[in-house]
Amino acid sequence: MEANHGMGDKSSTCSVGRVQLRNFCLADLDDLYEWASDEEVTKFMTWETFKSKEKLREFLVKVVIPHPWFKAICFNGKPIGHVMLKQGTGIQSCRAEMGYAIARKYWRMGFTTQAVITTLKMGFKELQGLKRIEALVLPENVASARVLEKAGFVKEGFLPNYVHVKGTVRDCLLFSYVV
Amino acid sequence: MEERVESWRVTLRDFKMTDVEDFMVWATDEEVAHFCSWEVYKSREQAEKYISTEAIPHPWFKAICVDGKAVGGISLNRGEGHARCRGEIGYVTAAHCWGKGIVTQAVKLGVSAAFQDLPDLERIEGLVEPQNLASQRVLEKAGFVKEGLLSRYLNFKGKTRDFYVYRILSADFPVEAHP
Repeated sequence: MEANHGMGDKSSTCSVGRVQLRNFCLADLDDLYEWASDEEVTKFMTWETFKSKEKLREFLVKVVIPHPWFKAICFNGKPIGHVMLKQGTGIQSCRAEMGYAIARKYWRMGFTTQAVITTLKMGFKELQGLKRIEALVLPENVASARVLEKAGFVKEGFLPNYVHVKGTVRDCLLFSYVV
Repeated sequence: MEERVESWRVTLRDFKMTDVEDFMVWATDEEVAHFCSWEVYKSREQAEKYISTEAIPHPWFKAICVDGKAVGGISLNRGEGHARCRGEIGYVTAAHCWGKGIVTQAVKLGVSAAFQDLPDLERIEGLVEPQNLASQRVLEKAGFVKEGLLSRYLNFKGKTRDFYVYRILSADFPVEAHP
């Protein structure tokens, strides 16, 4: 599978297999709403489910578009999901936390695994000093754990009472990929 | 021969500017700073600046005292947002305190006080490098459980480092009678 890289700047795109990662733009609002408003998708995320396009538009403008690394996962040019990397600062700058979601109708087709593999290629190339990408997964989110394992992540541990999700303190599995 | 210091002589309290000379005892010691992310302090001014601008205003940072005299420090760094249920413990003492039960007692007191002072704190974690056996023993004796090895987790002093993550949960922490 050929990976086409931009010049290591924010406007880079990359393809692996059938999916392409690119930056979001305002025109993507409706597509983004499809999974951001779906409780079945957001139930495993720290995100609150979006109930209005206005609120999502504000999020797109204020958070997604200016973000250092927040990409649309595209299939045939259409956004079907997102993946983002949040890099730490100072002594934590060697690591980034990855988060992702895909619209429900594209589940179980291998898209998410391809998107994660692409993220590994792009993220380590583009983010200065990055040596580790980690992902937190709720224990019942078996599908996401499988995606990470297929992409080459290692499960490092089970961390009880780790994070607030929708107002409840939850246990997490921690996965990482290091270079 | 190791001399044990009785637990009742170890106490925690807020830092004061008058602790600066005692602070210099551990902060200027290369052996103490070896496993810390900070470089040794070079001057009294530097120490005074740290105590007044960092130690005293910190949300949770206590002096570790033996017979009322500061011999080290212990801090709890709370997560924000989704991470507010957890906090990271950090501690340092002068080298003459090592091997006498002082550090273990300080950590036990610190954990108890932090869970009391911060009611929605559910998890305290400690990060220790694999070569730092003494600190691993302190956490184990204080009731922490080792969860796993986090690769390439932090970078400082020119190196990206691996850390064992230890945890103690408020649910597991024995509630002791307080005088």
